[in-house]
Formats: sequence, structure tokens, C-alpha cells
Amino acid sequence: MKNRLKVLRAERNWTQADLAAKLEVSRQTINAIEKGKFDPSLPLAFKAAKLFGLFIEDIFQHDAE
Amino acid sequence: MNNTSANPNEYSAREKKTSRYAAYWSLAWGVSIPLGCAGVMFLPASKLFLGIFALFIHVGIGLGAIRAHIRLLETLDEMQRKIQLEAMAMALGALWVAFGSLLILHSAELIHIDSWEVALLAVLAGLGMAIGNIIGVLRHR
Repeated sequence: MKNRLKVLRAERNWTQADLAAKLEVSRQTINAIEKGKFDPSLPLAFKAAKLFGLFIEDIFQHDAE
Repeated sequence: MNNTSANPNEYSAREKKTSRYAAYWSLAWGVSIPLGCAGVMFLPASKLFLGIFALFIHVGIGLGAIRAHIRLLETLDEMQRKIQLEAMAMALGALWVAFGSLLILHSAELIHIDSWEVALLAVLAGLGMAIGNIIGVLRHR
């Protein structure tokens, strides 16, 4: 799944550790999500959307098969 | 699982704390086996009494270790929990295969199982866990 997490994070000058602390996950998880190595659960995706004030679809895009 | 916190670094601190407890309990459990066996073999007392005493200590510590690992899983975030669960599956699978293999070889009278082979199974489980963790971390890097 593609996502704009890195871009949104950079716009706010947040480090991965900052975003991890705000979403209450590990920095490794943020890194894996940004690189597309891990897809977040729905609750985490909703949490990220609420944090950035956006809809989930504005942050995460499902890969077309 | 919902791990709400007011302090931004609380997740990290909580994860470190529960990881430490799980490690301590695991170490205690690991040490209880050779200590229990050595105690029964070398202490000048009834083997029955010492064996039962060592068994109670070992099972008690084992239950503590299980509880500590369950708490650790509850503390971890979803990706870390996934890595740990996969590592546990690898350890369990390795144990099953190794134990089954030993039984078959023992039945075929190709080997003779004694306490040392059984003790190695515990080491194998630990190795399986460690390898599973390394693979999980590398895969999500």
C-alpha cells in the first residue's frame, strides 16, 4: 500500500521518532509503513488520519492489482 | 490493543520495561532447569523431596515467564507484535519438528534419548525465537 506519510511528516518537520510518539508506535513501525514494508491496521490508519486532519484515502492508497 | 498514553515517550518506556521483565523471567526459567537438575544430583537430601521442590520452583517460574511474555505482546505495537508472534511460531515449529524427529530416531533405535537431548530442545526453542526475531526485523527494515 502506498502512502504519503513521509511527505506529511516532512511538511511538519517531524522526525520518524516524533510521529511514532504521536501515534504511540515504535519508530521502526513508522519506518516500515513509510517504506511500504508494513501495512497499518485500520485503527492505526484512522489515528494517523485524525492526527493529520485528513481522510484515510488522502494518506493511504491501495495498490491496484 | 489500545495503549493510550499522555506522555509521548510512554510507549517506548513501556516496551523497554516489559521487554526487560520478559527477558529476566526467561533467564530465570532457563537457569531453573540446570540448577534444579544439579540440586537433585548433588545436594545431600531425598531425591524425591528435592525433585518435587525443584519442579514446583521451575513450574512457578515458567508460569511467570509465560505471563511476562503475554504482557510483552500486549504492550508491543502491531508490527512488533506481528514479528514476535511469527518468531514464536518459528520456535514452536522447530520444537515440534525436533521433538518428533528425536522420537522417530529413538523408536528406530538409532539414538537413545536422555536428559541432554531434551535440554537441547529448550536451546533450540530459544534459537528459533532469536532467528525469527532477526528475520522479522530485517524483513520490515
